[in-house]
Amino acid sequence: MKINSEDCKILDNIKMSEDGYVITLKTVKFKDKFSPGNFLQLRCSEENTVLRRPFSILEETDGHIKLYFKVVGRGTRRLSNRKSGETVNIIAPLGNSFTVLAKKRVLLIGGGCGISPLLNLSFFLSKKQSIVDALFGFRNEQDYPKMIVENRKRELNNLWITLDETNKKEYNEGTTIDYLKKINIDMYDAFYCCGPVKMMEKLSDILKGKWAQVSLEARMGCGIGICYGCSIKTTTGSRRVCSDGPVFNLNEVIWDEF
Amino acid sequence: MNFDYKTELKKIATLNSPIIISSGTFGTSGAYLDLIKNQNIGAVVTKTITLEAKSGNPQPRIFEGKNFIVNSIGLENNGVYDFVINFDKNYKNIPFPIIVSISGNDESEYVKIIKKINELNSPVAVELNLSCPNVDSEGLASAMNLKSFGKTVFNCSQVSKFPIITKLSPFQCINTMYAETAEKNGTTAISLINTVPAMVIDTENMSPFLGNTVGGMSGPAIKPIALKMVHEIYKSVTVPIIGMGGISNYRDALDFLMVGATAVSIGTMNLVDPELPNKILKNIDNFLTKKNIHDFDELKKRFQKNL
Repeated sequence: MKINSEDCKILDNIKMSEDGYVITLKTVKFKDKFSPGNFLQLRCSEENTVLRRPFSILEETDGHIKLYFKVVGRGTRRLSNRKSGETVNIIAPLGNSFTVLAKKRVLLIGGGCGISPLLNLSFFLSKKQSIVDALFGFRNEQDYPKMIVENRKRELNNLWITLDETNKKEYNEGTTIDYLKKINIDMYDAFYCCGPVKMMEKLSDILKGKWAQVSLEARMGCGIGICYGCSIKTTTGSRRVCSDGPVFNLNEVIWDEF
Repeated sequence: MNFDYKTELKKIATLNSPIIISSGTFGTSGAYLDLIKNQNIGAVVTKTITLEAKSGNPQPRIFEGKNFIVNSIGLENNGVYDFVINFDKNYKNIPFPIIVSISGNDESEYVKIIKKINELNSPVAVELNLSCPNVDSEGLASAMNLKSFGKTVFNCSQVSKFPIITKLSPFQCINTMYAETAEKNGTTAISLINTVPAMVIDTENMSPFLGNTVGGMSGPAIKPIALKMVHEIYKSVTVPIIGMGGISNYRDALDFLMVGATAVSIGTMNLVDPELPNKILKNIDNFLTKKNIHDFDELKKRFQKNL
């Protein structure tokens, strides 16, 4: 798929957690064009921001693109205020994609907004008859976008939610890293991860030697491989998250300089 | 388009359009080329090439303010040998004239790089990035010494088989001395301004925001500064000026052309909207028609009359 730009109408923009939103965009050009792991660059506002912001795809069906984002700065705050009927410009589809394994037992490990590309991936994995378990972590109940995850439960064999603080039985208190110690990771053929850098760094230790892919979040300039603003160190040299990634083998990322 | 946008950059080339894509904001990936292949771009400037490979600066490399960014990429590139070996592979599908941007730590490095670039045939010019704020201070210090600056431009002009464009830092545009020195030493054109040396603090954590502590500021906020510098330098040199600094729409482009630029260059905003060149030209078309102006010379004259 060639990358392209499109003015997309906002169909809705719904608050899902304390500072999380799901925005739905109407696309003609990018219907059925996203591979799991791809992302897009969106112009949150033409007045208050300069650069576009990268967002991974939560879902694309029938020309409706859903993005799950959190308000973390000026751009995402502006995006959270955008109303249905308005248009936003996107450049897509960008980046590489996850390797979708068939007929395997896999574990998705996600934190915060990192669940977005993983939930998208789960759909493709299920289609290829892989058995998908998911371990997702959030700060607390207010931070957990329950509706998004519940909506996709049918694709998941097991779903474990960890919250840093909770006293409810349906959740597990602690982090995903804590909970991972309770799971027999040897029963999985593959791992797909996305979340905060510190969490990914710890995962790379725990999953050493395993087949594991990570989708990285990065501060980007262009998102299309021009500016080298998002370069990271890997065991095979400097790589751009936007155009060489965002999906990398978990073991090839050098985390020290992140 | 109602107008002929052919732009003559002295012996460098006659460009199809006055819009150039600045160094560091043009890429050679196929995906990106799909986006820009139909744009009416006059020339593109490569990412700056150094003698040896550079791995660039630590993260974070980009900060965004309200209408500016500060970057400290650190000239990440594979060095001139790799550049020359892979030039045909990487640049054969680029449908625009190519200007090669280079940077050295001292005078002799510039000459070494140029000798290597001389092995190529297709570039139309070499741009001396004598003013990148993101290399070590020695590079900038040497470029801020007028004598050494002049010598570098002279040596490069002598050795290069391609015409030389000298790119100036805003620090070198405080007065017109550097521009005049570049002209005297054989530069074919001057481009200005490079990013403005700048710094951002993470106040809450009481630490520098950028991995490299300091960087270069660009984007719409620097336009008035750049405009003033082009305006001053236009009066003191006869070589063509490529004006840049925060161009984000047709008005910005027209402003640079009015104050004396022969061509304009889009940098930061090319990262945001690779389809900007055609949008700008379309609007320039409307503007010139509305004002009954026939070419950019006339536009310049109309402005200069109002000074």
